[in-house]
Amino acid sequence: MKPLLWIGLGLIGLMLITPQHPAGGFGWDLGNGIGLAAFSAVCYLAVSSGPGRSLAGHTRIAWLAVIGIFVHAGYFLLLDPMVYQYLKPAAPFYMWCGVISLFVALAVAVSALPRFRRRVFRKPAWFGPLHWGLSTTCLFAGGYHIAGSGFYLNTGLQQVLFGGLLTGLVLIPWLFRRNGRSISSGEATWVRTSLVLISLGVVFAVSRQL
Amino acid sequence: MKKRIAALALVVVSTGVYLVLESVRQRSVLLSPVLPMNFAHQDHTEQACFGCHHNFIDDSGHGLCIDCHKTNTEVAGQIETQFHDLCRTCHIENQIQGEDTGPVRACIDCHEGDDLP
Repeated sequence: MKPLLWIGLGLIGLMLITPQHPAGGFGWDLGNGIGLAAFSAVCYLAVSSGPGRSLAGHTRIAWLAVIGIFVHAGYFLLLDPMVYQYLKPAAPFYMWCGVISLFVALAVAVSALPRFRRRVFRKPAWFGPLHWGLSTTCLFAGGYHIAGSGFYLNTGLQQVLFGGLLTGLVLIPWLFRRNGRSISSGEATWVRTSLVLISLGVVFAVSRQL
Repeated sequence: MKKRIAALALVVVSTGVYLVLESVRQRSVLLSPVLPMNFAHQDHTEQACFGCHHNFIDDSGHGLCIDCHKTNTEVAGQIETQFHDLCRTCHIENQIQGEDTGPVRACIDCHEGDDLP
């Protein structure tokens, strides 16, 4: 669980490295904190992919990430009725990316369910590239959703560092596998992972108010 | 070799998907109605008029902001970014300096639709 915590705290820190810390109000920042925690989980899943990881832990984190993304979206729709305007086709491209990442995250999780996987992918080798492709799409669409809104990542330096972080997350598992190593998801229990994600959301919201 | 072709195909497909989505989005912006706004001139009397009304000095058009920014295909696609940046940049600076300021995030704070002068 430590890598998840470090990724989450790293992202929160990245959004605080400028002297200006715009805040949207605690309620608004908490909603974005939930989204950021879910995105941290997606990042962690990208790093801890491949052989050697705990499948049960990987699956639990994935479903908590999906739930987190849906809570993030649903929370804002309840908090601010005008947010539904961002679900229309005329919404800015970063909002399209947010909606795309939401549905792709669900598709990744559902397509990896053993029952679905066995029925649809008769050859196991076909599943891997699809799972990697969809999860990478989710990672980058979610990343553009965060960076494109420009509110918390509002300087060029932050945007460049954030882009480098996402690229690194895709390359790290590949580099590890080349050296015959992998990062395990470890014992990611429902309760412990949920507590870590909720804590990250709250820490983010509090950090914006300072 | 196969991996390189797959990577190239991925880049081409991604670019194609982006161009199609962006085209649909731009068309949707032109077709969608303008959202209600509660902008009050009386709250912004200390601001330089030309900061917003650039058309009076660069002769880029006459009439309301929306006349160009909602109908001109060159700028309509950026209407959300341009107007939000214009308002937020000032509001955020004021917020950071601890001054009373306008909304920075909540949509409903601006898009309520009462008719303030």
